[in-house]
Amino acid sequence: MGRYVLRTAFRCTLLVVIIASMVEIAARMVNSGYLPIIPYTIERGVPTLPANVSFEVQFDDDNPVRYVTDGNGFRISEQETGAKRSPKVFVAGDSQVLGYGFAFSATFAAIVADAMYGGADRAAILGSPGMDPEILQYAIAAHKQVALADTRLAIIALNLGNDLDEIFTGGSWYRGIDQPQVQGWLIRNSVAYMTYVQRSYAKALDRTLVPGVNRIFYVTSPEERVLLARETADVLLSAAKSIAAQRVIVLIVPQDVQVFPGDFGKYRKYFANADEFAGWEARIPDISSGLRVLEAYIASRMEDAGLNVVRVSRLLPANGNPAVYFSRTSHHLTPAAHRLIAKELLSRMHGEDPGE
Amino acid sequence: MSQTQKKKRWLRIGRAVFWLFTTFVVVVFSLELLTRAIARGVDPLPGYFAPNSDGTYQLAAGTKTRYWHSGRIVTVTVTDDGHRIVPGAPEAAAITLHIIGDSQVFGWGLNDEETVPARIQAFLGSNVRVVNHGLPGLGPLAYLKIVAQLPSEDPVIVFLTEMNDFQDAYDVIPSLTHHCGFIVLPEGPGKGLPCFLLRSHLVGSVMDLRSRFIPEKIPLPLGFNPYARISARVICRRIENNLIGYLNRRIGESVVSTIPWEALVDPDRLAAYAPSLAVVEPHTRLPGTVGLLKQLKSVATKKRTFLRNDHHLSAEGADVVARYIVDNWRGDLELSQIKVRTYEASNCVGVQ
Repeated sequence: MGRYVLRTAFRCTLLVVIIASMVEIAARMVNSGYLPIIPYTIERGVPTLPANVSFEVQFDDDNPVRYVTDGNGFRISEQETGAKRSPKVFVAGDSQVLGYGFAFSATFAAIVADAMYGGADRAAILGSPGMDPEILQYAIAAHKQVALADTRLAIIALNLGNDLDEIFTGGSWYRGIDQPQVQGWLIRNSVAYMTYVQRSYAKALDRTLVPGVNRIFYVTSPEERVLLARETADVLLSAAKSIAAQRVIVLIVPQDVQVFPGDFGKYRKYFANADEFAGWEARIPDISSGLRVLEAYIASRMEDAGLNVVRVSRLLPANGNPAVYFSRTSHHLTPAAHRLIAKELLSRMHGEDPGE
Repeated sequence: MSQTQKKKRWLRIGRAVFWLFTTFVVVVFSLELLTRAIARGVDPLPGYFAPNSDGTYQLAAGTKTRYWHSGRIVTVTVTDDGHRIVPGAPEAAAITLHIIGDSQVFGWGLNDEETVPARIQAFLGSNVRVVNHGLPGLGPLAYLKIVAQLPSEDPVIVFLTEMNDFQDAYDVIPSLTHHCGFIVLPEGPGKGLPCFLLRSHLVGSVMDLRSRFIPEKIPLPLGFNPYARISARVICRRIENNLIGYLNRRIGESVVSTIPWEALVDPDRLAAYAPSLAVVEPHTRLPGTVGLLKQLKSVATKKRTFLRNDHHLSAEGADVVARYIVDNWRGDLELSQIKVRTYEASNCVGVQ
């Protein structure tokens, strides 16, 4: 009897393992061997990329992109440079600074590091999808003693595309809570699980988000938005002041429709109903001007406190082609926008001794 | 293997499956009968809700339900107009006092005579008619909706709940939904269960055991969560602007008080929450918390003011809250005051 039970249990386990392996193999084949998402986990309340890994991600139908991380989970150059040199340029933010869908060498962090310190390997990006300035301050606090000890130029980014939204709505349920270990392991190692997460996340967003419209414009009042902006500016200020770099700059990344209201048309495909799209499209000019006001308020609050602020909206040509600067499927910046940012940062650093 | 052997093997497997299935059904059925006998026929879960046409829910009018709550039988009676009964409330009185809130006001886990409104009624006597407008799952914007439907000259007391009213102020629609007479999470496992399983004593016992032995961490109240300082302040301001702003414009007296988070009274309960905190220190406070907290703390060594492993007030806690409110409110029964009384200022951050 005992042997029979053991044999049955073994067969059942084997069956489960075989099915799970087949699902995993199928998911890997469907994704052509690439990961469908950036596999971040929540650790000590902070979205974090896995440490010391190299993986390739393919977003939608774009070209696959390699992400390489160091021991802190910072994105670093994928090029081997021989002797390991400490990063001098440190960039912190969400997927906008991480380089969403393009090589490390095309990020403004890499371009600035290359120009100032002779190599993209002198840059490190603390960035992850799901990061926002309120959470970022904890990530910076965790790394500033060791990982950032040698930093010369630190850039902290605020993404007006979704940071305020995430700060506000994040409070509605779980925030600051780590993922269960099994979930964390699966998100790092199983393409099938990543695909499941990607699909269920997209489904959840479908239910709660209006594509291309910043959620703060339909879940908060104007006064609440100002309070949200003020508190966020203050959090950024204290995070910036906590970094002992030679120079700290705050970068404000605008939402696509804030600079190019006509770019809302790219979200048409995500609306099932033409009238619904037209209704939101009519509101875009107001939303765009609302975002501009919030950006000006945040920037002036930080500048008044003595911080150096770069407003990306001012670098983008108003009559330019949005397709050059923003992704065609989301509000993410393109390599061209990163080049503009790098140029501005370098001009601000012009004449300053970079130090070694 | 010959055909006969194959046939015999399949027969053996078929017989095994049949016996396995039959044994399973008999065991489950027996356990269901056993748990029913142990429960003495009393319901395992609180099923006194009815659906509204808009997808929300209300109390099932004109019902009396007895169910097991944390090891004791609780009686919940709902009046014909859909409010939880307030024992001793007169049919009519010179003053009708409306008490509004969520499960704390409703009296989750408490008998009809133990709820905060029932205790206030007992303290005030028959000159005042107390109405319990509490409904589990509501939040501050829903309280506002209720207040707006009341006669403007009637006095109201709104109880906020520090534990979850920050989160519940995100939307006027409750975060819970109706299913088979119960309230469940819209995307939780309960929503997918057929009604007979939700009413099963065996399933109820399994759920009880699961939450007792594998407890899930509860999210910290927003006012204490260091990762959610900004949203707490914005939400706090939302409550002040909307609910308290409206109450300020009423003719009748309006009182706002906040039931403090249980861990402030019993720090041992902190372990049940995530993210973990070293010190219980609020960064944002709803109005009217401090006075009540002091009262609850003052008796906490002698009485259990919150239910065991639960953030809801116990009968003793409800009594302390009712006593505090009546002691502070009694002087203003003439309705001459046109103001909102919170007993102390809030700690929301104002827009400069």
